[in-house]
Amino acid sequence: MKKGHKIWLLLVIILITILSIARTSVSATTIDDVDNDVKFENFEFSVSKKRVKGELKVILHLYWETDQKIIVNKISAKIPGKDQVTLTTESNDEGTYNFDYQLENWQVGMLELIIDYQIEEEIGLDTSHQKVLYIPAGKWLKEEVGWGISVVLGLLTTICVVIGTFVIIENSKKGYVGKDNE
Amino acid sequence: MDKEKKLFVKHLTNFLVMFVTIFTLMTIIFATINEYVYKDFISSIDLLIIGGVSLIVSILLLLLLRINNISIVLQVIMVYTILALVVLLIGYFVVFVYDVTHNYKLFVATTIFLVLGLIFIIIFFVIRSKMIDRSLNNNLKHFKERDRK
Repeated sequence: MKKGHKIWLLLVIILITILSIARTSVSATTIDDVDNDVKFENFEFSVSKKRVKGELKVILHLYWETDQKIIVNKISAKIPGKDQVTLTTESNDEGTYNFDYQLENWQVGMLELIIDYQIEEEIGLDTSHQKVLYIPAGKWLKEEVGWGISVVLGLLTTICVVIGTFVIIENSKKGYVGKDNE
Repeated sequence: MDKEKKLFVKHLTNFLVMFVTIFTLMTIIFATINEYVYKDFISSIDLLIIGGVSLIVSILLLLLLRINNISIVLQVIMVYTILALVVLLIGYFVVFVYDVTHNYKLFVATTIFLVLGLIFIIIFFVIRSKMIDRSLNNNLKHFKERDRK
C-alpha cells in the first residue's frame, strides 16, 4: 500500500472513530417526582454492571440532596410484573444521600423507587413520608435480543472483523507487490 | 532520512493503522449492539478499556506478522481469530452484551457468523493469492519468451 494511501486510510478511520464517539454526551435521567413533602434536589441515578459468579448484576447508584434533614428508613424497588424488592433499611441524615444497590439484571420495564423517610424535625410525632420516583426504561431496559436482530448484529460484527482483518493483512504486506511498492 | 529512521517510521505507521482499525471496528460493533440492547451508548470507561485492549492487540499482531515463512492463509487465520476472540471477550466481560444464559441468541448468532466469516476470508485470500501467482508466472513466461527471441 502506498504511503499516501495509508495516511488517507488512517485519516478516514480516525474520522469514523470520532463521529462514533461524538455521541458520548451524558443523557439526563428524567425523574417523575410525585411527592411534594420534601424536595429531592440534584437527584442522580446511574447504572453499572458487573458479573457475580457468572450472573450479570446491576449496581444502582442513587444520589440526592435535601434542604431539610431526613432519615431514610427504607428504599424499595419495583418493576411492573415483578415483586417489590426492599433495597435497604439504612438511615442517613446528613443532607446528602448516596446509596448503591445490587439488583438482578435482565428485567424489562420502568423502575419504580419507593423511598420511605421521616423528616428529622418530626421524629417522635409518628409521621412518615413516602416519595415515589420513576426511573425511565432508557438506562434500565435490558432487551433479550430475538433471532432476527441477532442475525443482523452478528452479520455486522462479522463484516467489521472481516474488513479489519483485510486492512491489517494488506497493511502488513512486505516485499514486491507490483507497481504499488515504494 | 537514513535507513533505520525510515524503517522506524514504516513500523510506526503500520502500528497506528492497526491500532486505529481495531479500535474503530470494536467501537462501531459495541456502540451499535449496546445502543440496541441497552438503549445507551457505551461508557467512557468501556471505551478506555477498548482502547487499551486495541493497543495490546496491535502490538501483538505487529510482532506476529513480522515472523517470516508464514503462509498467507495462516496469517489470515491468526489475525481473524485474535480479532474475533477479542470482540467476544470484550462483549462478554466489559460491555456485557453477550451472555450465554440470558442473551444466548445474540452470542450464538455472532459466533456462527464469525466462523462463516473466517471460512469466507480464507477462501478469498487463497483465490487472490493464486491469481497473483498466476499473473506473476505469466509475466515471467512472457519475459522468458521475449528473451529467447
